[in-house]
Amino acid sequence: MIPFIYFLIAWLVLLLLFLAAATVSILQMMRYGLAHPLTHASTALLVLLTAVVVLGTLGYLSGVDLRAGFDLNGLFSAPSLTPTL
Amino acid sequence: MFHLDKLPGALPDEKLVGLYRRHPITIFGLIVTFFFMLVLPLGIYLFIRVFHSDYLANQQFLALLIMFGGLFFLFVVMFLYQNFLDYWLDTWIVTNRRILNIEQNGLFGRTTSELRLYRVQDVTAKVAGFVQSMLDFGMVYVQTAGEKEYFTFEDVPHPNLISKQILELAELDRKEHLEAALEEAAEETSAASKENLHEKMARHIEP
Repeated sequence: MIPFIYFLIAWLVLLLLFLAAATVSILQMMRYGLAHPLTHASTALLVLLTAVVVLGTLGYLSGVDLRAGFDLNGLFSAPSLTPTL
Repeated sequence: MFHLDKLPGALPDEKLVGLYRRHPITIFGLIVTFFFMLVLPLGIYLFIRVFHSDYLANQQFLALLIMFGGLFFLFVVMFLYQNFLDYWLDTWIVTNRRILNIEQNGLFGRTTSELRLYRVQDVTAKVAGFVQSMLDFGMVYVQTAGEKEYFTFEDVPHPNLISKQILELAELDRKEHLEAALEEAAEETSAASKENLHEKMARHIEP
């Protein structure tokens, strides 16, 4: 049983790495990019997608029991090899 | 931000003639790869839904799938953005006085080079291969007096038109700035003759 909070910490660390790299990329684009609608549109799209994914994930996580453990063995021992659609 | 009406080190009476980038087809392969990487989390989700639907009943497993799937999606979008940045910031600017080459190397590397049009001696357009011929893009090599290195426009659309345009502009600039061109040529000649003289003297002094 692995505490779920460990996965949350790993996710937050990776998210911080992403945010740092994305911020540097945006700063470079804003500093050296040509004043053109496509420059602004691509940057706005990156910011928008980031906001949607991060807020959506946080919204979903608010309904998850973070104190519960994640049982890896129990999950993968379940026999389910037939399509269920 | 970089404005075309405020070029770096602008010269008097300078007017923009053209701004060129690599042909968009040069990043087509990259876009296709990223598209497949973007749909990969969705594919994994569908696979689990079809073959292991009971996994999705586990709230923690679903939460992990959403967290790390979303993060993977964000990293792919960011790498796509960085590659677009690399493409978008590589520009060749032609004005009636000079050629500017602004090249982005990765995220932090940036090279800016400049060439005065009256120094242009030879311009070569090169279209090689089936794709380049069909889509009319290729290389333009600009050779200057006294320099061995080429000034290269990489994979630009309509290379023949660009080379013709540069030659015409160079001719015009040479006529308009004949004095400056002559002065520079004289300086180069005197510098070369001085170097020759120094070499001869050095040989004479050596035992």
